[in-house]
Amino acid sequence: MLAQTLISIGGIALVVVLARWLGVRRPAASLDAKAAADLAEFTLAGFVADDVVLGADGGGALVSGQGGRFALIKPHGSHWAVRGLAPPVAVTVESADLIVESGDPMFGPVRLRIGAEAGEMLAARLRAEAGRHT
Amino acid sequence: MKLPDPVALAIPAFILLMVAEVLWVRFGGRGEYEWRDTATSLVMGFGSTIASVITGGAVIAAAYWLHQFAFLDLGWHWWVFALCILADDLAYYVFHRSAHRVRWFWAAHVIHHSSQHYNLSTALRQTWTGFIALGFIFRMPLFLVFDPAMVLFASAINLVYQFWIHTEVVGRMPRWFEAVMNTPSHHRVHHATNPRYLDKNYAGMFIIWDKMFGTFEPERDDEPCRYGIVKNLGSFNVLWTAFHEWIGIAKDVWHAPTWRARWNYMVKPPGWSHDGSRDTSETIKARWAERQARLAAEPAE
Repeated sequence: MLAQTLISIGGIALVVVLARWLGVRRPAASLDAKAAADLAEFTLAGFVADDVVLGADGGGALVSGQGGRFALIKPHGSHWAVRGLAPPVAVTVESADLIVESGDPMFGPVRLRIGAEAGEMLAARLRAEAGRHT
Repeated sequence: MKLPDPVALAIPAFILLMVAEVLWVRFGGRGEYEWRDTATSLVMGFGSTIASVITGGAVIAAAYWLHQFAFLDLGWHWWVFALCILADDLAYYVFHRSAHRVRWFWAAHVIHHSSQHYNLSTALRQTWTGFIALGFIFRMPLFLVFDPAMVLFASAINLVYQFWIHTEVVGRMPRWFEAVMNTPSHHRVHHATNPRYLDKNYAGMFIIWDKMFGTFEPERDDEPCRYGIVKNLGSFNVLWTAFHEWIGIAKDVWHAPTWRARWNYMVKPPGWSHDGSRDTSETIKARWAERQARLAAEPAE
């Protein structure tokens, strides 16, 4: 039992260290507006994308869809993870970043680098839309 | 009869094969490794073995208790072993199908599907809460026919077999093998979230059960698999990975408006909600089919 435990722990360490050391991680495929819209439509059943707000560094996106739905996209390892959001969407602006709350502590907030001015404008729009839904 | 533990014997081979797969990917072969994802998978696997040690005694005791009422004594012939492996695989199919269709069972099984990668380390991403989910009940009928030691051996063989099919390195096996056995190609489909592939290919060792019971879907070259779950975690945290669906059930049961809804949040398929606001695999497939039909009609307009 002890030998099996030690072999398992050693094996885990070996494989993880090797995977990191050899740099086999592939970065997530680059995210442009079309890719973000496609990803949102693939992931969220019935989602039809209207407009995409893309982080300047390709570090995520907020996709608005028909029927007032939103898709929040963030990088997750070599892939992208998506959360569907229903209004009101909670956002804050911090310097050049728009921070979108996913409402899911496991997923966390997503920081989109879109510039201070654009961030303020979008935040104002989302707050106005949120006001209509409350 | 004293039988060896196939899982314990296989652990060094598991490690060596993962190392080989990492090297394969490093030198340009098909496949993907993300070290944080791999770490999550392997820690989940290690935790699962600890959970099995803690709860295994109760399952073995239940097995021997039930075996008192066995209505057949088939002995220890080679053909009984073969029959036991086949029967155990059918029990696995029923378990596995239920694990995707009943949220209580899914809460434990979702862990295995929660990686967006598909490599040998994904095979070891196993639950810590299988005992709570009651997954062991599906094998209980076998103890009325076969010796418990033989059944436990067969289930370990089944588990070991399923390791090698979690890979993108192997494309297709020879046609005769693909027809009978579960293979990397069949199991990639099972791990995919593409609507076409959802809730398909539940097989453990033999793909024949899916073909018999209408749940078989071949892998298509024109539709690459996108791995993971419908609502991907977005986290490598092992505690979230282990317990997120249980937390989801607890929240839903707490907020459910009626007792009936509370019950349904535990036993209906994943994605069920009392107000129909969420997506089950049926609604996802239906919307996908509508979209396909709409896209097919567009050029003619």
